[in-house]
Amino acid sequence: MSRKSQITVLDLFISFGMASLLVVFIVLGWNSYTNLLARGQREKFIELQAMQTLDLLIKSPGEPVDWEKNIASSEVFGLAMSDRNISQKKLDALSLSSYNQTSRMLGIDLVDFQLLVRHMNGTELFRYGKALPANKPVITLQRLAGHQNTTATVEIAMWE
Amino acid sequence: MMEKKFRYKKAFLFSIDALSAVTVLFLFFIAGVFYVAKANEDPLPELHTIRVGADVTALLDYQGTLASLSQENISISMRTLLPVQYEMALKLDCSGKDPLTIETSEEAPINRFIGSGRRVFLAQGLVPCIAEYQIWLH
Repeated sequence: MSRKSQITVLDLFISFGMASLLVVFIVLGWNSYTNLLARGQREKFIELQAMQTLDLLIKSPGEPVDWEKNIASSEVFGLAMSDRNISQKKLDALSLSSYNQTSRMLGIDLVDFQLLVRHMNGTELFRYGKALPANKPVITLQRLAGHQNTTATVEIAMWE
Repeated sequence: MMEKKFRYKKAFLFSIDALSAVTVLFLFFIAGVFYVAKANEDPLPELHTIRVGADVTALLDYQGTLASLSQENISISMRTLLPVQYEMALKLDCSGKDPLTIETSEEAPINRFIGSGRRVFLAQGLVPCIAEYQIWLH
């Protein structure tokens, strides 16, 4: 084989090797990027659910407005007596409701959650839902609301 | 001589072709990264920041602190209510009075997100006022 042919074959091998490396690099990159985007989308979805749920709980009295008198008749849970002023009676009623029912009624049955109401000094006033998982990413959001003439923080933690 | 000149020209065109291809590829790559990064931008934390500002302003209103129009009382209550990761500025504008500004820090940042909103309330003597808040992360 002439020297020119050898160089041409070598060139072919090199270019084939580089093309293969490029393909492998693109496939791996595409996979990791797809996973990254999917995870980001899931986290955004949970964050949005947490935000909407918390907003509903602290701003809405629920449906019917006095659902706490008869939990069986409740259609939507809300904890507010008025805008950003949560009711102890509604908290007590919520604690009697089953987790699955609450989850379904709040429209968050695709995720797990924990609701925590604390006084501004840190004293825990109310806790509802599942225990926080140790090995999963948890999204936590906190809002402020009035509670029995004081201010409380209402915190929701959500995870898949 | 003629053949050598032709070869040089061919090599030159080949280089230009390769350079153009790399440039186009690079542009595609940049555009891809730009759009993916843009699609990944998350507006929810910013929305949450605005909501925290609205909560603080609403609670100041419900407590009657805003109605007092006392700079000191509002400042103390605002610091108590505001979560530690946030800073806030509140401007109270009542008809017939000079605007009052209360801030938890020196000044708002220039190159970061600042959430803002308004709330209408009645001050003592049923004077209509507008509370305009600005809130941002530390």
